[in-house]
Amino acid sequence: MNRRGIFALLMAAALLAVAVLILRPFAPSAASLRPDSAPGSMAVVNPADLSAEYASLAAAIQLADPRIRARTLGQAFQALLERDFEAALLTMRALPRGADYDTALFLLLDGLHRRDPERALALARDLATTREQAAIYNVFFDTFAHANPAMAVSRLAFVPPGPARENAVRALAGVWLRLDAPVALAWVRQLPPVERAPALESALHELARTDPLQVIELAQTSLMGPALERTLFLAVQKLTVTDPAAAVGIVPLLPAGDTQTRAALEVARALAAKNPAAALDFIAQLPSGSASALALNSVLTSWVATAPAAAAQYVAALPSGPRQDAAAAHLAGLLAREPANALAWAQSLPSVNARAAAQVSLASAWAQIDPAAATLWASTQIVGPAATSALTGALSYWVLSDATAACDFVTTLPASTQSVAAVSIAPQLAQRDPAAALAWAQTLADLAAREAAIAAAYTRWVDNAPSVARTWLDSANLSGELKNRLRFPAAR
Amino acid sequence: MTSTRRLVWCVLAVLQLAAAARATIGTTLQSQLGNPSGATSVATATTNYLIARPQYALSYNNTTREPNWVSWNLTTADIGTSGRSANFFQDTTLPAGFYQVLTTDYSGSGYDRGHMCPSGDRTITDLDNEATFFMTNMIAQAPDNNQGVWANFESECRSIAAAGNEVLIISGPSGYAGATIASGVAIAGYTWKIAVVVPLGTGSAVSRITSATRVIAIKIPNIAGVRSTPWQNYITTAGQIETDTGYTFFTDLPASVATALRAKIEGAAPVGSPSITTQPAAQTAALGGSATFSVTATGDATLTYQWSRDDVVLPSAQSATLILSSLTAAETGNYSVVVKNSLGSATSVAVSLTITGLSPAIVTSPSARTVPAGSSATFAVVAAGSPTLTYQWRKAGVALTGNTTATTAALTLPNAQAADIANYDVVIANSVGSITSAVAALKVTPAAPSVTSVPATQISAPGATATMTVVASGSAPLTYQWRKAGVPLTDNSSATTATLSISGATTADSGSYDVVITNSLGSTTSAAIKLNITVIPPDPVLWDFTTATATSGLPADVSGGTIVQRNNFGTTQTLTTVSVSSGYTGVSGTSNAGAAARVGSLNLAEGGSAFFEFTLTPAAARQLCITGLSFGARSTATGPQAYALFVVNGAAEPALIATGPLANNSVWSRITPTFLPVLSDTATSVTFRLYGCNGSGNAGVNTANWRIDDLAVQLITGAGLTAGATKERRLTNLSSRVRTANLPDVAIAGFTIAGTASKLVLIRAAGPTLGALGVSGSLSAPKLELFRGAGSIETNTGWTTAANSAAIAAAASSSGAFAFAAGSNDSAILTTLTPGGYTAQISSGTGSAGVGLIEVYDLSSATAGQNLVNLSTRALAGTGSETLISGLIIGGTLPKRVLIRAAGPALAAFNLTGVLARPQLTLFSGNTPVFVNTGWSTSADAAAITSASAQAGAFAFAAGSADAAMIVTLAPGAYTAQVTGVAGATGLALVEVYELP
Repeated sequence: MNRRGIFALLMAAALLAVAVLILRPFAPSAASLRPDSAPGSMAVVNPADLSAEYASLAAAIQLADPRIRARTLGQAFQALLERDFEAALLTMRALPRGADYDTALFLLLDGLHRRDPERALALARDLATTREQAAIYNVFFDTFAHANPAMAVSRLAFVPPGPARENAVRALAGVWLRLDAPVALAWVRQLPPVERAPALESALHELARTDPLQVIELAQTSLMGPALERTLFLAVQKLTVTDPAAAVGIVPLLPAGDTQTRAALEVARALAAKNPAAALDFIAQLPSGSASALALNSVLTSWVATAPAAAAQYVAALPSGPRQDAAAAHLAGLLAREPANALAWAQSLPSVNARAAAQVSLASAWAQIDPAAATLWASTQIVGPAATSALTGALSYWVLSDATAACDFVTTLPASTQSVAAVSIAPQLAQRDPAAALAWAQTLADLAAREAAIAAAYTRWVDNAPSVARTWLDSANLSGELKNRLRFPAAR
Repeated sequence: MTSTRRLVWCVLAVLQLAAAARATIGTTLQSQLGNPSGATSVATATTNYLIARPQYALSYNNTTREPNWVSWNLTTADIGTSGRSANFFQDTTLPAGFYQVLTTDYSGSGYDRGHMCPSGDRTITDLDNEATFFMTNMIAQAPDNNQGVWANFESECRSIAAAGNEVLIISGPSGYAGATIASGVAIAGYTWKIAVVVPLGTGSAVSRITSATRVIAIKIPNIAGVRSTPWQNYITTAGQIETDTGYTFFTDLPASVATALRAKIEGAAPVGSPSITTQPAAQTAALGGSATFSVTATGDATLTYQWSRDDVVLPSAQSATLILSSLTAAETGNYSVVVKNSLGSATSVAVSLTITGLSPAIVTSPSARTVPAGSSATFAVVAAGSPTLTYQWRKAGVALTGNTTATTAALTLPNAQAADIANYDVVIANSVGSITSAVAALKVTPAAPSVTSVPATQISAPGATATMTVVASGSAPLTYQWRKAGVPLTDNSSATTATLSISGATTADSGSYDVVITNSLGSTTSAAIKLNITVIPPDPVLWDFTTATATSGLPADVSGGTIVQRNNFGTTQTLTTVSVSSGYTGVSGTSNAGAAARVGSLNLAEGGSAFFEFTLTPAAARQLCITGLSFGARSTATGPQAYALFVVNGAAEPALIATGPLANNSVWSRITPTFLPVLSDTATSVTFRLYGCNGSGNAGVNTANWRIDDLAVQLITGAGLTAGATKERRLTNLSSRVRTANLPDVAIAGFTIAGTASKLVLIRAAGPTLGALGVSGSLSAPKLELFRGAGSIETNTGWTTAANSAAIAAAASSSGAFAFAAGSNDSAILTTLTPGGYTAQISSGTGSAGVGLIEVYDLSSATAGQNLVNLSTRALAGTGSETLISGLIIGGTLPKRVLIRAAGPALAAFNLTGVLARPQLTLFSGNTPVFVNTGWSTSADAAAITSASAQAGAFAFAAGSADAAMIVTLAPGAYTAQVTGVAGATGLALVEVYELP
């Protein structure tokens, strides 16, 4: 038998071996993968050639842990690939579509495209059919473009439309622009519209590093939809780093909406890092609303790092109203690293609403540093909505860091606040240990707090493990009326 | 311990101490969503070792030497001004036995030390930032991934945080395929990240997460080439990442919430949000009736509905069904509904409500008109209503009849006169009601005659009826008087009407005509109309074998033409016809004649065995001259291998006049034998016999059928015809006047010499002499170069420089060409050429554009079949002096049939640009236009042009193209074919003249 005949039989054996791997529900032996295990005429094939590689593949496919299977299968396939490319190709073709196939496909094509681009393109057109598999074209055209952009352009003809082509033109445009921006842009501009948009976006993405103003101009005349918004935002981000003043003038020119708002935040923050007054002037030009409020928060975030007192004074001097309330809440959170000073500042605010907002925010921020102190402070406030929010907010952090201490503290609270406090932490307790949570809830002295905490913990448990929870409920030492309420919560 | 390791240890110690002193619960904040892999801080957990730092929490894998996942939370409060650490750090906190990845372990790998918890997310203090530079927070990340799309998403998360959110993030590697960098750090196939976006509020983020919380999950290939790809292209679900990794996310959330979050796809409608399953349908209802729109939608919890009409909310329309009763016209419009629940909304398509039974209403009334007498007057009305409206225009209250526009929305009076002066209105009606418009007055002012339209040139055949019609306006009555050369026509009754008819026209009727139109207010004279009565080319006599007789083209003064099938044994058979089994260009596609060769000699010398025969007989006092014959033929390997054409002219013996091979492959081909014109005596029959033979003398072969189809014969009838005259009937000169400069605007003339004998030819390129003859912008020094194929044969740039200049002058004189001035820069070549195709290029010797004339003269004596048969010239076709002109001279005394073409659009197929979009081809005899064509397919000769083009070897024009062509039979003399652009357009054109049989 000549070499070609032997080779053909070997390929058939490889296919058969993979079919065995796929179809057999039990772990195949290495022998079952050897060509000599094949029936009939297959027995004439030299059994020694690839049996070790097939055995490794067989073992890998049986692994359950996806991380370990991918690694093991990848190593086995790579070994086969290095021994016999064609056998590896046939083996890969026989793999069921999914993660294993994708792993093999990328290994195979990644190596092939460097030594035989045309065949790699032909195989990819046949084998890489999903959006995820089409990522191989990013690799191809990154390599091709680095080697010779013009040649890469000619190879686009072999790329099917859809995600594959989009990936190819994106990779090509991005690399080319880094190599020769004018030529790359000229090429991008003459592409048909369906390819021009992604190619131009990629090219402008690269260009934004060096010339964000040009990118903004080009994007506004050549892109639309999400690509336009992404590109504009990226360019403004870059511009704010190099020239915040120029970025100030750009923001009003952007399409109104999310992109403009986010750009305004970037600019406000960048300005504030150098000159808070200029940042505040910029904010003053923004229309009132969420964008303005968020931009002020950005300024405060930056300002407080360098001049916390000035920032605090500015917020305190704002006209009372929702804008001051929001700013006070935000600043209080930022000042929480020095809780005493922050508390003093919050309590000095003349506006009742601003003061409440600041104290609630401060309690949560303070609790991230010292939950016990923050919770204790919150529990001493005059009962009301703000105090309740401050208390439950602080408690939510305490229960994260030290659930036992938080529970103990709640048991010490007066009846007026114990119920709301218990209800706020019971679900979090039940998430990790429902039995313990319910046991703790039953220790609460106040009936209302006890039943509310039980209900809160049980509800979470039912959500997570309904049958176990209901079994517990059936045998729990609870009143019948409470049990009914827990069983039929909608009936209340 | 090395000094380096001591330094790292010291740094770490400082970091840990500082972190511990600053925050007490930072570690728990970083993993609020749970522990996806159940990682623990025990030293034996080598592949799932938990490291909890104030800045992030992670699970470390000593096998991959990378984190399995890293979890952290992000708010705007985490972003400060610390800047980026200058150093990476070996993580010495790993238990003993773990490999501590060195900061240099990635060197030269081609992979970045890619942060999972980004440096940019921890910039409040230097210590916070430096904590992200532990090597346990790094994976081997492709630079394009790390520095491009991954970095963009990191930035996106910070932007989301800046917009008032707390972002809980988990990220990591996945899809290991076994590859590592040199130090053993594994290379992942993907990097993934899950961001749970929680609006800022009171308390921990985890306590505020619900099923409606936004989740962004991405999975990005860890490869090159993705640098500039938007992260949105890699959106996936947390559930997919769980499948890829085997982890379980959101373990610290209620199961129902976790399930919802795992399925979320960024940008997609939330699960459970409304979805319309049945869209509302358009409705049609009667005025005063009712209409119902309904929608069916699915979605979690209670759905609410809000209907709108033309995007205006209908406040009371808030259920799945909208019922409209007592409909009014105002309720006509487009209806849509928005369905909402707590998770989102869905908007239906907008559908129309059409209310029928609306009585007519006038939107725009007709307005008064004042027009001069003889003009058209139009009244228009715009009305609305349903069902369909009808119109009836009235004059002074009386319905108009006899005017087709009187029952439409616009009434047109085409020739308004004083009698039409009146008030007009229109009655508009439908089944619901009717309405009458206000009246509109028509005023008609008196007007002298004016000519509306008149033809420019009329061409007609001798004996036919030539007609010319003028359209004029003005106050009635108008009178007409046609004139020829300014002289009123008095012997033609139609000469005083708008249409002049000349029946039985002769060449004597050719001339310039006009018409004088008169009324009471004055008179006017039309522009001149040129009438040219000229020869109409005869159609060939054609047999398509649906019958044995000639199907078409047999002149009235010729009889006969029935084909029979015979053989040398004297048997005459009725012609049998069969269906065409395969086609060839020009085949009729219906039937063909088949001949069965009989047993006997197939020797050509003996005339073969089977043949077709037909006889044509001229009428009394008439002669017949057959100038050409062609036919389609098909034979087989055992059938005739050759044909022989015999003629029996009067009482003469049969004479072989042409022979040639027959294809024996059962494929049809068209055959055009070459022979001397056959001239009959007066009123004497001519018989043709077309034999099938093999030419080899084999006898006794019983051949298979051979078939012919689409036999065509070109003939001329007349009196006083002579044999010499038919031989002289040929093209003796072809010329083209062109505008040219240097390449690529060089003008190219192609010509073909037919036959087998060499021919003496004079080729000239005139420039300066044209100027002397009054042509402006002529070339000052034309360069003439003669090619055969791609090879240059001869070049001349001044005829007097040629060695045979004296012979050139003599040849020009003998051929009737105008003389070049002595010493002029006109160019010429006198040479003897073998039969074949040639091109002569004329270009500017000075580089300046100009007009030149290229000429080819046949200086040889007349020999049948040895003719100059074609000239084609490609050049710019402009206007005025830049008109592309080809000249041709018909020699002898008999008419000659030629095909003339002007290609413009067709040149585009040869990759030529700037072609003339719509050429106009005008053939002039002297200064008289005799034929005009601006679109070959509109010609009555379109079919003949197609077959003649194919026969002459010309490329085909596309069906319906704007290329121009004509087949004309021309009396001997000089003609010019001029190519111009319609509407003054200019461009590249090709003008061609072909001799036809």
